[in-house]
Amino acid sequence: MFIALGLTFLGMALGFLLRGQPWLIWLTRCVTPAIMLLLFALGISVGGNETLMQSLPRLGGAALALTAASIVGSFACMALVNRFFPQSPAPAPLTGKPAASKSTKPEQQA
Amino acid sequence: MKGSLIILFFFCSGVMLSRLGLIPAYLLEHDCTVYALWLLMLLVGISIGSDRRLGEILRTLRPRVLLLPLATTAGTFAGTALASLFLTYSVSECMAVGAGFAYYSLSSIFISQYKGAELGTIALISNIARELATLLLTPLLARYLGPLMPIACGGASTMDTTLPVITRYCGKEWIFVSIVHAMILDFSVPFWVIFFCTL
Repeated sequence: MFIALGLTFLGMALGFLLRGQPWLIWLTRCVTPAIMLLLFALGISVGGNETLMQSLPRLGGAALALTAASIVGSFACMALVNRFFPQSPAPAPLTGKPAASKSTKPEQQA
Repeated sequence: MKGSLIILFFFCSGVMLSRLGLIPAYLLEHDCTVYALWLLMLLVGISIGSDRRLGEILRTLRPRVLLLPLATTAGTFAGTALASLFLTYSVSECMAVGAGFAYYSLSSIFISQYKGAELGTIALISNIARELATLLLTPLLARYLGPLMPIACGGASTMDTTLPVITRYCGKEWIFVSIVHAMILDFSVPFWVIFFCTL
């Protein structure tokens, strides 16, 4: 957990130092494929977890009910504090693209 | 919608290949999710650091950001307490499961120790499912319900596993908000889990 967060801050420092490099834009576009890779790896580890797979039919219902309840509850409370957060102070950047390239290329839809 | 479907597709193909035994044992023994996550976090960091609006993004950090973990905590507890009415487990047991906030490794270990393997497994499944739901639903939630909902959904995972998806679909201005939200929840997990287990 701390390594992951440390890597993010390392990346921020790197990105800050190397700002304006053309290949950096290319690199930031790799975020989406990397998300796919993470999900694929997560699928492998969930599918390979025997304890999890075997107890899923018996305990899965209660577990998923609790998950759904926590998510819906969180949504309800978040909706209450929502008005303290002005939405999209900046033009919503839906793509993983840095703002630097915005002026030259049309905004890509997510 | 398309984003969610692609994410779901990659997850399901991982599960299927793993179930069918098509994944080399080496990959199963050495948890490769960690390396995929590290790569992703580095990339997210680089994309934030190279963004010219970095200062602007940092200015999104206001004291009111602290309302977000509060809302997630209150909502999770209210939801799980309500769900306990329909389940065979007690209110405190259900709330202990919810108090994992998608931080499944820690919460399931604590709950197994205090309440036994059955509730521990429920906590594991439930919290993995919360993380998965966040990963899969973020593109939809961000689009139709606003950028705060994926953060509420992600709980304590919004600073690692689900951070890349959140920055990708909610926008970069939410990255620090998301990290602060998860840090507070993360540190509160052991406290809440032990509290509800000893009730």
